[in-house]
Amino acid sequence: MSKRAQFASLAHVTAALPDEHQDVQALALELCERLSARDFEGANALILAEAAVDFGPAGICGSFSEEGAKFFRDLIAAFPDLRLTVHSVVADSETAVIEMTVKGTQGADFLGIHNQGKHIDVDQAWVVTASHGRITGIRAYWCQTQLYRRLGVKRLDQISITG
Amino acid sequence: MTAMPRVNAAEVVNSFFDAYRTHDVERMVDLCDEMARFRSFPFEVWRKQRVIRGDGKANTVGKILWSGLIESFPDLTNRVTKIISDNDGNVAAEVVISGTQAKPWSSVGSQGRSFQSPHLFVFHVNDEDKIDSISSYSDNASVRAQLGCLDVD
Repeated sequence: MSKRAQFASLAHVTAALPDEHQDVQALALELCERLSARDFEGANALILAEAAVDFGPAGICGSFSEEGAKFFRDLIAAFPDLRLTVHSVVADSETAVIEMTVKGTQGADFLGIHNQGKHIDVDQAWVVTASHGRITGIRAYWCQTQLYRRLGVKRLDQISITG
Repeated sequence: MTAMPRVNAAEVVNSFFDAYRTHDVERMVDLCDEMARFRSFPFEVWRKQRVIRGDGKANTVGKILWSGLIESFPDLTNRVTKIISDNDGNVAAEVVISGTQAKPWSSVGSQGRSFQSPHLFVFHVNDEDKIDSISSYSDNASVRAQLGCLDVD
């Protein structure tokens, strides 16, 4: 079994982190906690406005202020019971890679997908970089096909048509 | 006592992608522990009664998926863009995988198109410098679209 740090709960995360990695790991984990708490302003405060965000599967790439903030706001609005469950973290002094499952029940349209009240559970990995106590980059990996399948989308060129 | 840096872990992972680049699946498997777990999160086939996932052992499920990709994309290659590792044998690698389709791949018939797909792999390398866990994240929707298949399933 992997010795990678496993987190069933984030309650003891700070104590579990090596000191030299605490900044970026702690920031990345706090971001997940704040998103799970649907605390947009709290998440926003952790990230530099000019941070580079790449949510490639959603076709969103640019600065946090121009692209990322809207994505987080829409995510929180679309899934009222949003939950990010972190499974593991791999980190060095500048970068943390977080494996997680994002779960929730759709309550509003999201990324052009009509709301049918369906549930998602999509495994993801986020590469988070930080400097001087703020997040400077987020690059996210997940399979958009899985998201579409769970939300009833049948064709990649007809996202708004669900079945 | 300070933990010794596990410099070999990143080297093992680089060797894994070197072998993948030369389509040496046996070498890829040799770099893994016999019981190494393999998970490809995008791999998911929904049947009427059950869902088949890309979750099993590296030397069974992993080997089948890697061999299938290489067969369908004879010029399959990869480019490692970033590796991070810690002192416990954990390694995360960002890798761009690309290729040109020559044969059907899963439910995607060949139109001779090419794809390029960013992947994130998370490995654990054990004390014997063998990979004992691989998790892979990528976006199949992008790959399917690039190959000309617009059906989700």
